[in-house]
Amino acid sequence: MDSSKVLDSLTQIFRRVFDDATLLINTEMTAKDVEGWDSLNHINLIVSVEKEFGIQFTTKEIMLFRNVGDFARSITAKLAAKCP
Amino acid sequence: MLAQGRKLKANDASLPEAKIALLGDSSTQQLAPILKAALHQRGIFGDVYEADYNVIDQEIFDAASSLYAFSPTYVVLQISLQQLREQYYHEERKGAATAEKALAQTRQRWSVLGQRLSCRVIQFLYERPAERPFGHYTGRVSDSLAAAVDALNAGLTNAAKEFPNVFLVDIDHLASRVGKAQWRDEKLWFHAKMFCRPDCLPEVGVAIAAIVAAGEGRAKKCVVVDLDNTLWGGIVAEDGMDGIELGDHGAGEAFVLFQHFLLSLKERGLILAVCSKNERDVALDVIRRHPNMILREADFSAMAINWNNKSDNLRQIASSLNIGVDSLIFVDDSPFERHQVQAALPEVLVPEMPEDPAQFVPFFNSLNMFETLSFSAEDRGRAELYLQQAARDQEKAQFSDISDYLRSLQMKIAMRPFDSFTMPRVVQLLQRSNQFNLTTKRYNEKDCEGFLSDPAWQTLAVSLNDKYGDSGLISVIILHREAKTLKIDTWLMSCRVLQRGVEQFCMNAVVEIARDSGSQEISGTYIPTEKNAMVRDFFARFGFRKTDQSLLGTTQWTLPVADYKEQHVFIARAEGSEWTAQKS
Repeated sequence: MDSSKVLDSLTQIFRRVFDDATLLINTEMTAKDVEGWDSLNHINLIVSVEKEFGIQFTTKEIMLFRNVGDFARSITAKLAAKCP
Repeated sequence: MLAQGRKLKANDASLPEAKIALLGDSSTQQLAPILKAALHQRGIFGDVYEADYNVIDQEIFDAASSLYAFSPTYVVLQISLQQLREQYYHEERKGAATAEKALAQTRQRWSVLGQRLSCRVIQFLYERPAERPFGHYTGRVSDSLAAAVDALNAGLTNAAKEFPNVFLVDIDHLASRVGKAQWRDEKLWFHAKMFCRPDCLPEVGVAIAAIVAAGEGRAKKCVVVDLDNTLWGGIVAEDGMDGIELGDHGAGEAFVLFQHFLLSLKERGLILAVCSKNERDVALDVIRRHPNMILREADFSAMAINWNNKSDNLRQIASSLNIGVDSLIFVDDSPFERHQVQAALPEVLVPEMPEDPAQFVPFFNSLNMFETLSFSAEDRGRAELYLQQAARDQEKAQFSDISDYLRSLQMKIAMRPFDSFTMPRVVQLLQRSNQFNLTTKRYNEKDCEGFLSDPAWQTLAVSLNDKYGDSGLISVIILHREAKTLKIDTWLMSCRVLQRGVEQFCMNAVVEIARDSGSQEISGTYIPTEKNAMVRDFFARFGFRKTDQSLLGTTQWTLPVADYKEQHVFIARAEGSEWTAQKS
């Protein structure tokens, strides 16, 4: 799955988690830029992404994500490692 | 569900409210909105107070805490395996000590809550741990964490018997149903102190909501089943009695298992009824004579086997059983019939049955429809009561004069203050009675114990029997003495015994109590609900005068004791029944 497809799926997940059907995301976006992106919804994002892509983040990873780009890169890398 | 719950800020639909305090040793922020959504699905608005993280004891033991300022009717104690595990690892003498300590602490919480609040406590049991250092040998090692959790869960279940206000949520059962591997993610514990994954929380919310709904009188009372392709496979009119699937192999076995499950619901106190489009004689023949039928005619308290539409039949069944249409569950394999019923009677619960009969039982179990707060002797015998009623109705048809019929029943009433024997049934009636209920006050166990210890209150538990059998405890009356007035605080009666003179007999007794205690007048209140229109004129029928009517329709009534006209009844006092003095 290439990174633009990852970003598309990620957009759908963000829209579900933040209950906003028109939400648009970009790689530079941080928690400050999205209304409701608090520590709780961060967990909901993590769990939804893990489920959607069939991957697992580590405790360290979820604490280090600074923006949407970090998120997307980590997903792409994990997916590549899963099916080389 | 989380998003739904977050939108439920105010009680816009003016649903009945429940005040719920959520106290957790783990994160509660996600469960709170999910619980609100789950309650909303049950037609209840949840006013939820969320305590801070891990301050259960501070909230409970400090009488000045926000918990008591909130004054909840339900307190949820959300405890976690993870916190217990931490205590366990820090313990010198591991295992038994951990369990004993946690049990003692929980009992202490229950008793203090019981002293300070009139509330129900919803206590989580502990999830069984994944840590098994001894493999499958773990359970035999008494100081293992697994053994400690087992001992603790058993201890809590046992202790709850002494605390009638405490109800348990079996978290491990929920975790098992979801699958342990899907339930818990340790990183979410380390990161956010979540005892399970957020996508599993609806299981927990729904379980709590089911207990609250049962407490608020939303329990379902009657399961109405279709016959063809529901109780057996195939269509009896086409396949014949020997052609239907019902027996010890294949799909036939699934239908037998489903019937066993329905029978266990009946034994637990639900009423079973049949609603089927069929030739009555053909269908009855199967019920009476098929060798593999588990449910027989006597198991069904009502049968509508005809070609009328099913919603009309359901109305008929509800009225013949004297229960509300909204207490019915309708079970039918046909989507057409289900939609017809759901469209005509939205208040009936109509589960979307799976196609495969093998899935019937697991499906029903997953619905959380059968939560109950109590199990009394009346529950066990309920179906029998409806059969006795059928016999009475038959006899009634033979009398042209109602008085002759009532006299022939040889009715006797026993009337006593509540005691430990009658309390479970009294509280159950307080929770469930909707129709013949003047004020619909949902008092709980704790409230009732309070009435017993205060001489200003007089409680009456009324039991009826006749020549057909014992109807059990069928009416509850709670009176309050105020200066020269005896106030009727609560008066409810099971609709099974309507038109038998029970309420007339009871009013005679209430007036006698008023006279004995020197009251000059009796006062009462009628608070209208969607369901209790049948008692709107209750006081007027006894000659009470209306003194006030509020905008919402609540009416106040009064009657000078001297003006009361003794009601003529055909009921005798049972021996040993005395109701003039309440021991306190």
